[in-house]
Amino acid sequence: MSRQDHYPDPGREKIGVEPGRLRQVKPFELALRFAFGAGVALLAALVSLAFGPKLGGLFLAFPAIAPATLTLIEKKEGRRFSQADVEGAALGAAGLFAFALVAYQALVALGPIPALLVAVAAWTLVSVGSYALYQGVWRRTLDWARRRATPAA
Amino acid sequence: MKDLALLGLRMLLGGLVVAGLAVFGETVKPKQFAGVFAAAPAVALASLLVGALAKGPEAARPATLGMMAGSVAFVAFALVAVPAIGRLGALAGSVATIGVWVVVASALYRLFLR
Repeated sequence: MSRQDHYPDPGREKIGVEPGRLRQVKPFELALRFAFGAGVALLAALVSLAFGPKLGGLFLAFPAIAPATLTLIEKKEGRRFSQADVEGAALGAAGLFAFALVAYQALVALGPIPALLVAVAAWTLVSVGSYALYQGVWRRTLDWARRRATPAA
Repeated sequence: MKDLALLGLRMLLGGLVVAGLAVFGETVKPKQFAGVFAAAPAVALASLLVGALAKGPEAARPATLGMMAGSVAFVAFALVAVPAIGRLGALAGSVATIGVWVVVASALYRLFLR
């Protein structure tokens, strides 16, 4: 188990893929996520049946899987990485709004499959776009503020 | 019988997409970027696809209204979870913060959707 104390800094670390990390994923962790995903789908369907589709729809954006995922990250990589993960989830959740809005507008107009493809594109645009903003503008602004606060001797 | 099969299909697809995105999230860096995929529309995609194909797009539409409220509540959950996890740890912090989602989602549902 490796625990890292430094905070992952998106302003310094570039986006990348590390396929080697797949070896660290245990079957139990995948089964846990599958079970939570299936469970939330069941919950949303049951609430829809009992109380109507609008209330059921709330659970299509329910962070039920988050406690399990964040606990696994804390155990493997440390608490700060768990916080970093949920920071990113805030940006992904903003994309969920775009997904739902586009799906609402496009489902009838385009039909199910094209509408949901466009909605996934909207999620990607908003969540990855807001990450790029977060990484670029926000961090550079912080760096600028830090330089202003501590002038070179 | 058909409804049960559709429910099973939603659960199977929802679980598979969540697990697939988790694998993808494990390989991506930095961690904040990986976290974006923790809030991907996995269950929504499976549920809306099965619902719209089985019962027509008009029937699936109201759920997207609820999802808009749920997603605003998810943003609130994630923002509050960052300091909560710092203080209480990942499990206690995130479970306690689910309460924020419940409060915000209920308020938005009562205000705009009921």
